[in-house]
Amino acid sequence: MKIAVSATAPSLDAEVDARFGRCQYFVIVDPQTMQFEALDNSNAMAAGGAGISTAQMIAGKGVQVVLTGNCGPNAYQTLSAAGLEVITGVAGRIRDAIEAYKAGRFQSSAQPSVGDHYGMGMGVGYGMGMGRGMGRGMGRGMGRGMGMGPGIMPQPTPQAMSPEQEIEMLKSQAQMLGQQLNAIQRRIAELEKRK
Amino acid sequence: MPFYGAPFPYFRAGLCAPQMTREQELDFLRSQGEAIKEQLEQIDARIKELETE
Repeated sequence: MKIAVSATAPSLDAEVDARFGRCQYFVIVDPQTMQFEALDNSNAMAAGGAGISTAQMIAGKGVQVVLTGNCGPNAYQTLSAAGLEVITGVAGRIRDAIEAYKAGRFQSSAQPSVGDHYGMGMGVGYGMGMGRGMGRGMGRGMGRGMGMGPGIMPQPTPQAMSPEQEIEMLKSQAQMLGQQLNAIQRRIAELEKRK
Repeated sequence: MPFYGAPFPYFRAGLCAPQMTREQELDFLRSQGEAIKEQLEQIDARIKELETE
């Protein structure tokens, strides 16, 4: 059995990182022997899609359980589709977290613990607004911004995933993309009405 | 498994961000929409491929 823990450093004595997709390291531990492997998370600084990419990487490592502080909806769906048990709300030293898991003190999370884009340092966007004022003019505006992700980035096929798991994962990705497409189409319709 | 693209994140409005005109926003949204449609087609094709294996 293998347990992946989001980590602040590549060691069993490091703290559990509160972020999943954008944590700096993963420590993959065999709870029986406490032998571990540390991985750099190359998605930590990704412009977008870090949760899904990280979840795919972890699923490809033959891990059965993920311990982390928080897990967003995209990563949660991807991990669940791959059949992994996700446990959020974990903090403290990795070594202690593994012992707590072995002692049965954790319960699986039935849903994501945070919303989209948790753990991103800052965002870039565009806003549009109007304001008026007297004396000290103060304006406020409302706008919505969009950032672009890294686009299509083929990744190596994780060997541990069965065709059924891959289909489930693809369906959940398609569902998310479908929702984004709907939001874009709604915004286009809204803008076209303003002619 | 191939990864068919990252979701396009929607960020909150920046405080000092340049303004985008309606036409620019429409162009941007249309190109985003096309990119997502292409990704959905790729996903659909891959699902069919897996289902026939």
